[in-house]
Amino acid sequence: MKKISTLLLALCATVTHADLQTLDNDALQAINGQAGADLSLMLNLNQTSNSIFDNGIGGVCENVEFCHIGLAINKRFVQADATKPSGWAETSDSGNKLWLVFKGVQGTLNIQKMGLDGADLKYLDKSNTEIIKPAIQLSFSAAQPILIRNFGFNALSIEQDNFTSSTTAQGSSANIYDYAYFKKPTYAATANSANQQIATATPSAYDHGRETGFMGLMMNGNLAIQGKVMVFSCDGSHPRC
Amino acid sequence: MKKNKENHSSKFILNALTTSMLLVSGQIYALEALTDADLSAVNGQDGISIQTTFNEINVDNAYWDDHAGTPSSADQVLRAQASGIKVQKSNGSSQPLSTNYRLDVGSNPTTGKTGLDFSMQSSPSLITVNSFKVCNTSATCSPTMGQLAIQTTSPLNLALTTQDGLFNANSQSSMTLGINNANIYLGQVDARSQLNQLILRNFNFNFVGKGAMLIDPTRGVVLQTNTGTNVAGVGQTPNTTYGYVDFNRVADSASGLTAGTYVDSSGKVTNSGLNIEVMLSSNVDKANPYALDATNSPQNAKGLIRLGASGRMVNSYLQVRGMDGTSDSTILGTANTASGTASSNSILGNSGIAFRMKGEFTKDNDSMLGADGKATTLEIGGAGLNAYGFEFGNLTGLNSATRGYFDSGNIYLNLADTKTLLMPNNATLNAIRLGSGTLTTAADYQHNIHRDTVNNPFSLILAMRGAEFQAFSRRGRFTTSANVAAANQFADNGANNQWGLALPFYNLNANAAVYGLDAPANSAYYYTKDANGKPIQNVVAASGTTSRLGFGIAAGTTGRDATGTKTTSVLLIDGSPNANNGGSPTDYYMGLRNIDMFVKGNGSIGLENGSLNISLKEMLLALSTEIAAGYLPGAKYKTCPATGSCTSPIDNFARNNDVLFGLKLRLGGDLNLSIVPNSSIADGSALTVLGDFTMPATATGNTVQISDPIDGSAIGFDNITGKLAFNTALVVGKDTASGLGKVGVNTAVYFNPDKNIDGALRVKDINFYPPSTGAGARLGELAITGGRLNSSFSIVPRNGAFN
Repeated sequence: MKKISTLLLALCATVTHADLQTLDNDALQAINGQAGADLSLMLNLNQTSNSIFDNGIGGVCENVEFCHIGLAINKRFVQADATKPSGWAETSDSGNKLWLVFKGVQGTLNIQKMGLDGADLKYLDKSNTEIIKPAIQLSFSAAQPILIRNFGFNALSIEQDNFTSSTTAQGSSANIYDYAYFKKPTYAATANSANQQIATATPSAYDHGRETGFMGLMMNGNLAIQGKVMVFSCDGSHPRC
Repeated sequence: MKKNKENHSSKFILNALTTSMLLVSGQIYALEALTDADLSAVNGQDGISIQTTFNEINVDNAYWDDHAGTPSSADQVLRAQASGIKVQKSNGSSQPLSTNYRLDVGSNPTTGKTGLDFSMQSSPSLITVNSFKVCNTSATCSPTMGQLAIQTTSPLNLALTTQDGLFNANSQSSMTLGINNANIYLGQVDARSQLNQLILRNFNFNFVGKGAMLIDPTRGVVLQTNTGTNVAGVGQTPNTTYGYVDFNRVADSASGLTAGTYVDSSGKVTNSGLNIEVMLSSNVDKANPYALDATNSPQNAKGLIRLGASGRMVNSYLQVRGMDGTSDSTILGTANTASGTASSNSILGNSGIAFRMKGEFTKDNDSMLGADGKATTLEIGGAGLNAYGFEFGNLTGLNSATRGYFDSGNIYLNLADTKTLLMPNNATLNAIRLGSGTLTTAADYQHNIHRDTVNNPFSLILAMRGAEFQAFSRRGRFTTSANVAAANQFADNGANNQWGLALPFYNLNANAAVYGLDAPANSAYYYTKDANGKPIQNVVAASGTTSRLGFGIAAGTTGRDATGTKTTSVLLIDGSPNANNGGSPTDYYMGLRNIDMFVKGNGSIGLENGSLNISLKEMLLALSTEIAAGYLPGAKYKTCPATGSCTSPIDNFARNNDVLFGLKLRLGGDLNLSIVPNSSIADGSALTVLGDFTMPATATGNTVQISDPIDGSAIGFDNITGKLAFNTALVVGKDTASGLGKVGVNTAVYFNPDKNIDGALRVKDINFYPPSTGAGARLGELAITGGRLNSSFSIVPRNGAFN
């Protein structure tokens, strides 16, 4: 009995001793020692490797009509109507479909380094119970910012199909330039220029030869983030979900 | 004469006398103790030893007859026929052609049981088959599938030792099979009369097993590692009840190789015990089609992909049985004519071969490893020399307390005359909303194996039902094969890596039909790329036919079982030590979870221009998965909540707590692609896929949907049409900054590559779907007229924190 007691005491002493030892930062880090992966992703749309619009000879956008993105909102049609100033009246069931066309769409986005790890997220749910939620931890370093180069579009315009469609049937045409999203009107050099390849083009000495539209957008910059983003599944118990 | 006879006789008597005297004296000597070596020499003389040598074997025809149900007959004999078989001395060996057999029968005086000791060794050989066809009984044949050859550069070994009879479920036997360093060739002659080959280089099937052999009335011939119906639990050690199969690594037959990751104790380069290295060789010298280079590799062959497995497996079995499927119309369905007229005749017919195998993978420090076993590792990588690879180690089941395993499910091998085959329906996919219908319907699960409307080809059918691979690797590492230059070696061998990958699948069903095909050369394509990396479509020849392998495939997986214990997923595992669990791996996972998938198509495979060229028409891919992150089932949390459980629920994969969002898609159309073999580091260490994918303007149902995991509401990009060309490279390489391995995916997608109306990528309906039920509400539509999207993605696994 005495022996056992001694042994127990000895054991207790050991445990106590271990508990009293403080862990330094290095040791803590070693225990937590995350293993994950570093990701990098570069996306380049319609540009050469040095982030310039690829519309030179042999380039993917040499024919600019093939670098468009068209967006049509549900039930947006026009029908010829001589009583309207524009000659067209809006309808919602059939007619020539209207498209919002982004022209000269391009951009480079370069996420140079992003850490991917698993991490525990602790939060209180709606009933104030502590929840441990495993989350994807994305880490970014300001030393390796996200590069954004010439990201946007050259022109945005509203175009309409030269054929009629309805909410139940798609129209079609054998001529590619009857489709709104393939139309490529460009600004003419002078008011009398015959350079009106597809649709009526407005003259502009400054924008001569470029695709018509009411606005363009181009974004350039370095997005430097220092920190972490936790991504997790947010169910109904979370206060904000 | 008589005198002569007497002389003979006396001579004999004298000999007998001498022999007797010798024997007597021998007995006196026998009193001396015999050494072990002497004893084994004496035993060796007990049995039969046959040594055969021969110069060549020629066989005109070897065939396998199968009874099949065809559109016109419930029982028609079809014949798979190999013609012009020749066995000759291997050009990769100096040994003469020979086979040695040894057979001993002995009994154990203690148990009184009789066992068998059989072994066979066959010298390296080259077996060639001129053509392989499927025919009917009136000798009408489909075109040849190609030329076959098996070339070995090491001897073939087979040994079997039993303790109690030959087939006994309750007595442990041992078996050795060594098919080592075999090169297997499939050769096709294209329209330009060039011979192109698909090669399995250094195919190894090298195992030493301990277990039982038995014949069972329902299971057929069975080889199993355990006697009776025993199952080796976690904690069990190997003994005469619980055996195992060791897939031992095989030394490469070539000498003078520079060592990579894998060497044996004597420093010789080894390949995995089960090794499948796919290589391609184009425009091969027809006079010497099986030439080897100085490294015993097929000359000028380029590596495509390598798969391997090594180490100990337990609770394993292999069963082979005959199969009568006359009355079965559910496994493969009934035979149809080329024009689509149905019959009620079962495709399986009244004969066929069925087999099944299963093996559990031993974990690190598994008790079943005993003193000498090595834990199972799986490998994937580049084929051939000077290539990178990836090894999956520390394998467990979904729950880390269990072992990972592979179960082939039931595999059926049959010959057939039909246009369609049947696949099991996937209930999950059949229930996903698409517009006002569903993602797939029952009609999608009957698939064509060809598109001819006049004649069915005679095809070879391999069907798999219910295959499972549940293995989660908690330690992945990059590896190098032999002959990798010092500068390209990794800075660390990765033995202490703390991350892993898991690619488990559950309930994999697959049909594969193959047949010989003389494809029109002007519509048989192979792809190359121009200076900008854009894929270019080339025809094999302007006229004539080219020899290809026709095929029809379908495959499907189920996302998970009802309780979430089995899954189909693609996951990254964060296995860093969990201080809250004694330093065991943390078992965070993230990736695609619970993948319900169905894919089908038919077309042809050609080997022209040294790439694997696949034409897949009537292709359909339907998929539903969850993008999720969390703890694997049963894993202990790193930090415990103040109240409640500190472990992940055991049915975690059946809950939606971890799901970020759901992804559902259906893509159908025509896919043409070339897989270009660039395994060698000198060629870029890549798996390159070039091709194009057309979703016809009339197609409906192509969709990509992103859904809410809780209530099922979704946004759908529905009714997609258009054409895409793509150039994708999966690159394994060395990260220059860390000196460690990295995986990269470089992709260039060309929208509307032919620049025409129908080629524009259109999303004809963008729909919002309400929770649970109800048709989508239309938001609008989208069109991308053309352009190119380049992406380069790389992933460098890391031990330790982000910095």
